[in-house]
Amino acid sequence: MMTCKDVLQRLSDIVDGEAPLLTRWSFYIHIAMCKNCRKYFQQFRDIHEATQHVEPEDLNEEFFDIMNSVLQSKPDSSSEK
Amino acid sequence: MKDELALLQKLKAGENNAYQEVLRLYGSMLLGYAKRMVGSKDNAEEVVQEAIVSIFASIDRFEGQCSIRSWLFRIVHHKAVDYLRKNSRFVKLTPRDDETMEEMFDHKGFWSNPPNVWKHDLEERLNAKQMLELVQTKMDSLPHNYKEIILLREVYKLDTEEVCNTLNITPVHARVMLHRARQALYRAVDDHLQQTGQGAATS
Repeated sequence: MMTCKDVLQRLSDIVDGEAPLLTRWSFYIHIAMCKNCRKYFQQFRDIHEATQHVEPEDLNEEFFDIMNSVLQSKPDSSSEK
Repeated sequence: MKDELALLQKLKAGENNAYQEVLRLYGSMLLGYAKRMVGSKDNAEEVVQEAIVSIFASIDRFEGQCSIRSWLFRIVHHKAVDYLRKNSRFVKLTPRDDETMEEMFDHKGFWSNPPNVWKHDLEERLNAKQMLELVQTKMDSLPHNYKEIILLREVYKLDTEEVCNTLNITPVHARVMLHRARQALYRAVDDHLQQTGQGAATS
């Protein structure tokens, strides 16, 4: 039987789908019976889902131009060979 | 994988269009990652420029043991950490993270301080956009190593192997760090909701 502490320690593996089958069973049985863990899991999952929707930044044109000029100033190794 | 190999060969041959291809494929994510690590766009541009120069210098030593993506992230990671250390802004995690976990449970492993339950209408009042902004703000306030592993896994969708290659850590270490980072983020959001009256102690 999992304790509440065990449940908390396995949350990451559960949301990543990396927990073994037996662990998942024990986890969800505990969650079904324990109101505190159920609420914590739900809130933990909400945050996890939000982090997955954090948008990566877009590369702006100005930076792309700067990087292209860095590339242009790179020694051309292919011509040296 | 075949495309990666071809791209790597072109990079090693010093073809400019290969570097442009790298920028097109990964430039945006490297800049975004650096910005979140160092905190400002100007500094992030400096970090990524240094990283690109470093890529020129080290391309001959890269043998394709890991994906190009994780190799690029690793170089930007090193440059960002160097930048933060140089500016005395590198924040390490504190032992309190583990202590907090211990305080939450009694000696039998059951809740000694039950979790705060966010108000039932939270989802209605805090719409998805606001929740996202809150999580993003709290993520940015985490110690750098916690913020970084969440960024790599959740935002840039690197798999465990790529995260390990980027940070030069073992899969077990990555798992433990990710777990602690997520718990720290949970606590940061929870603290904010309690302080702003949007959470309540459990009954």
